Amino acid sequence: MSMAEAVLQGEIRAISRLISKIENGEPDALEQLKQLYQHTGNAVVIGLTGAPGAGKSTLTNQLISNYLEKGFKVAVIAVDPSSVFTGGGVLGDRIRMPQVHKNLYIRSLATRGYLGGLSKAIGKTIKVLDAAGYQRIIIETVGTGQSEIEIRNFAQVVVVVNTPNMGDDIQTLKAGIMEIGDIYIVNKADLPEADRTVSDLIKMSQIVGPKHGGWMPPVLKVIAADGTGVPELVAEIEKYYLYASSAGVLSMNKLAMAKNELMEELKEAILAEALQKLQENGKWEECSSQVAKGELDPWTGAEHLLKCLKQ
Amino acid sequence: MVLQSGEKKIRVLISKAGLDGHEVGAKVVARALADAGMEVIYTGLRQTPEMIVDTAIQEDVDVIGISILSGAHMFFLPEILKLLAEKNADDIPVIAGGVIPVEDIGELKKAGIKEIFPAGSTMQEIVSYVKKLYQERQD
Repeated sequence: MSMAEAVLQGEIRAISRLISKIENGEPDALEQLKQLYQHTGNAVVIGLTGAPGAGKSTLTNQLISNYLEKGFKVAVIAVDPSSVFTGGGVLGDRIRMPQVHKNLYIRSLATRGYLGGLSKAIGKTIKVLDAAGYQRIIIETVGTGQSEIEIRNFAQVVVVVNTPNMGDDIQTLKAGIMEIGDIYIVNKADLPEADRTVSDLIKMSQIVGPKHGGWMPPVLKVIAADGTGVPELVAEIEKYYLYASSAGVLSMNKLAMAKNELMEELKEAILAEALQKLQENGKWEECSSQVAKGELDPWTGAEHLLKCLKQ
Repeated sequence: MVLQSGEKKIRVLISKAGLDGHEVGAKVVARALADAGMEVIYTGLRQTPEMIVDTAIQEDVDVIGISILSGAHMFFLPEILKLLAEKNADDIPVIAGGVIPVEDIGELKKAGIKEIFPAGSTMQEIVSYVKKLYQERQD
C-alpha cells in the first residue's frame, strides 16, 4: 500500500510521516500529494490568530471538544517559532490540548525560518489532513504581531483573538491583523476593560463596514479557560462558512489561493533550476565575489545573471 | 548559497508521566535540546501513557524522553513501551530521566528503555545521546 493510500484510510503513522516529508522538503512527498489532491476540498479550515498569550491554544482546545461532541473528525495544526540562532525550538501548544480521541489529530509545526506566522509546509499539510478525512481543520498561528496575516491565504474562516487592555482604540484602526478577521474574539472576558475592548472592536468594524458585500464581523466575548462563549463562537464560525459559501466568497478566494499556491511552487522550481545552472557554469560564484569586492553592484549583477540564464 | 529545499530536523517528545508536579528538569532538558537545534514537542505535566504514545505518533518524533520524579517509573515506562508496540510504533526509542534508583536501571533497560539519565546527568550527555539515537535510526 502506498503512503497516499494509507493516508486516505486515515492511518495516523502514514499521515505523520507524510507531513514530516513535506516539512523536510523530500521530493517523494510531492508524488504522494498528487495522488491525494483529488480527495481534498471537503474540510472547513479555521484559522486562529492573535498575540502571544492571547489564549489561542486554550481556545483551540475548546473548539476541539465542541466539534468532537458534534461528531466531527478534527485536526489541529499548531505553529510555534523556530529559533533564528539555533534552528531548534520548543513547541508547547499541545500543553493546552491534553486530549486523546480517535477522531482527533494534533500536529505541531515549527516556522523553520518562514515568516508570516505560519510554516512553509502549511498548505500541503492541510491537503494531507483534508484527504485523510478530517472535516474541521484548526490552524493556530504563532503568537502574531500586527502584520502576520498569511493565515488568510489558507483558512476559510479567520478568527482574530484579542484580550482586554490591548491598547487604545487607535490599535483597532491600523492595517494588518485587525483587517483580516471574519470573527473577532475578546478572550479573558472576565478581566476588567473587556467591555471597552469589545466596544472598540465594534466601532472598528462599523467604520470598516461589512465585508464581502454583507458580512459584518461579529465581536464575541469568550472565556476560553472555562468555555464561556465557545458554543456561540462555533455557531458564528459555521454561520460565516455558510455565508461565504453561498455568497461566492469561497470560490473567489479559491482562485486567489490557487494563484498563490502556483506562484509559490513556480518560484521555488524556477529558482532551483536557475541556481543549479548558474552554479554549474560558475557564474553565481563569480558574480557574488565581484559584488562582495565592490566591483559590481547587486542590481547590475542580477541583470547580468538573468542574461546568462537566457543564453 | 545553495537553495534550501528543506532540512531534516530531529524531533523529540519531552513529557511528564502521571501525577508528578516537578517539571523544571524536563523544561531544562527541552530547552537544551532546542538549543542544540532540535524541535522539541513539550506536553507538560500529568500525561497518561496513552497521551504520550498518541502524541509521539502524531508528531512523528525520532525520540521520546520521559521525566519521572514520582517513583512510578516501574509502572509508566513499561506501559509506554507496551502501548508503542501495540500501535506498531516500537521503532521509536524511549529514554528516561529523573529520580530513578540505580537498582531499577538494569530492569528498565531490559524492558526496552534505551537509556536512563538519573539526577546529575549533564545536558551534554543527553544531547549527544539523542543525536546518536537519531543517527542510528537513519542508518
